[in-house]
Amino acid sequence: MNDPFVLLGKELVRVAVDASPRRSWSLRWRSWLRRRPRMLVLVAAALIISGSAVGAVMSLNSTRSQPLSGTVPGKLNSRGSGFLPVSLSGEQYRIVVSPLLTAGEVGWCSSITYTYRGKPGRSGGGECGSDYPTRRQPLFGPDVMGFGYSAPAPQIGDTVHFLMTGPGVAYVRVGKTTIAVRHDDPDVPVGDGVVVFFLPAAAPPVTVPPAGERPPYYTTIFVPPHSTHDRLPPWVPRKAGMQRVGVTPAVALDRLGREIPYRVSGGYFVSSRWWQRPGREPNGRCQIERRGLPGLVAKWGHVTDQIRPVSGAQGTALLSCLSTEYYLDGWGLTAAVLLNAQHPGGPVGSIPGTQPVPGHPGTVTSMHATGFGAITAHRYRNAWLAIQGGRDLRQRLEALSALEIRRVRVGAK
Amino acid sequence: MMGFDRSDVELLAGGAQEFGVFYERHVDAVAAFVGVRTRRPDLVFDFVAETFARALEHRGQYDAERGPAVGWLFGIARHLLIDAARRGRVAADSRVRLGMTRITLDDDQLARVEERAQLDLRVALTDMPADQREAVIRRVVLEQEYPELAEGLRCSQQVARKRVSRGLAFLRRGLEGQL
Repeated sequence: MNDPFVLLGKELVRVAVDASPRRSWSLRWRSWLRRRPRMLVLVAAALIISGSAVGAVMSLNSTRSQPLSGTVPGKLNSRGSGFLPVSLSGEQYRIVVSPLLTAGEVGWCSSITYTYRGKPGRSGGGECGSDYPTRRQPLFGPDVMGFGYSAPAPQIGDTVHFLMTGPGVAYVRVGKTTIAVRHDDPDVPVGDGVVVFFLPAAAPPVTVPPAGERPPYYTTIFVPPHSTHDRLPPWVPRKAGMQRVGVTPAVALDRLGREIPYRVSGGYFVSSRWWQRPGREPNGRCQIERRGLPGLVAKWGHVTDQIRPVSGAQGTALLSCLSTEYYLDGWGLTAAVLLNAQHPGGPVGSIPGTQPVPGHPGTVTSMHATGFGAITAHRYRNAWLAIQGGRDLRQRLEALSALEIRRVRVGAK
Repeated sequence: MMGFDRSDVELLAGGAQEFGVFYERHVDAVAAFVGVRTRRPDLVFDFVAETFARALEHRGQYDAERGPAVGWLFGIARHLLIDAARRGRVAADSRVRLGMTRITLDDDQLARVEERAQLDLRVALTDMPADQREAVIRRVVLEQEYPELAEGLRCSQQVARKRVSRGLAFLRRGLEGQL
């Protein structure tokens, strides 16, 4: 009876008694199409199958990368109705990159958020995973895997896309346009680059074709019946069933403009052990200790039993060897120990998008948060103690001052 | 409990008890789907609760012709995950509208959620032929590209595509009520 899912089931049954009765199918469909057009897209996006065939190629607005934050082109911000915004024109976008804190993993989280007159915009999304560039896999980020990351999709105007790149990528060709990579941007990992570009909302989704695939490229999607409503994104065929759609291919180029083949490989992962209160944290390679601040309570976490260098990673890569979930005054905070992923125990790289916190030597904080929260971190000799989430910077600083890295064991066991 | 032999369409068209059966039938799959994307058990529980609250609110909008009910639930969950990544919190709109009581989880319950969230989707989708199930999970849930998917399945990309296609067709044809 203590099973929370049983309690949830009973609660659902309780409220279902009073839930309003369903309407006729025809009425439901009309209502569904009017009020929930995005669901059509989500259902379709969940059933993606990719391949290669005839595909449209789009022209871009510019050959220079756009900045990581800016305004979507166009003056008119037609907000639309229902879930799908008609246009994102005039909205402010911001792309934020932060390290993945999960113990045993190496990677970056990236997200794009929109605001309009200071309030949340109508689109956005992001990805958090074992993403870092390698020679064979020089592009990473949400657009690498194609659409399905950003929702809802606008219907007209421009959309904002971005791809993260490794150090060896000088340009990214998107469709027929070549875009120069922005390197040395303090908001992306040191050594890595980024291209930000606008595409018309009518453009097919961007994907990175793997080596061996030949143009033209396509993706096949499942278009459910009854989805011929005009609020679907323009590139979705108005015909039910399995339908091919062209994609906008993105290809990494070196300094001489030569294509860098993209080969999909597995990310870095080492096993980690999970624990929770009232159990004790197992002895892992890393350990943090709380001094004072009794209200800061560790609830659960992950520790790694092994630390092995990441091979082939380019640019800055951070390896999390411990992640613990704390609670303080009802707020959840994630603490993690981050190491140099290529050379654990060596000097640890900087955290992108952060600035020093005045009055707190060795401590930095992110200027903007991803959907997973802002990060504040203190640099130890060769490791970061990072805190993500919480109420605000003050609370993260409070937690940081109460925690310290007690052990980092990087040698062979 | 009644209705264990009834289809999802029938359960969603029924009353409160039938929705309870529908919930029990799919809660493992939804928890596993969410568990792949977040390791925090409190968030997993929030996502699952809001997913089913939305399903309850909009149960009249489910159409079996569009695909199996579990795909519909995954679509809702996926929407909530994207929304949460953007807003920094899990939506609770449907639970609030329905007047659901908030369930506060203690440490034991968090452990149970963690356990449920680690359920293998392969187990949750037991009725699908094994080769197709693996292919569909890799493609639709883990969103693997075909070269990686084929490598994982140890088959050619063509075969991988065929398995995904057949698996999706299997789901569409008549899995509702049996997943």
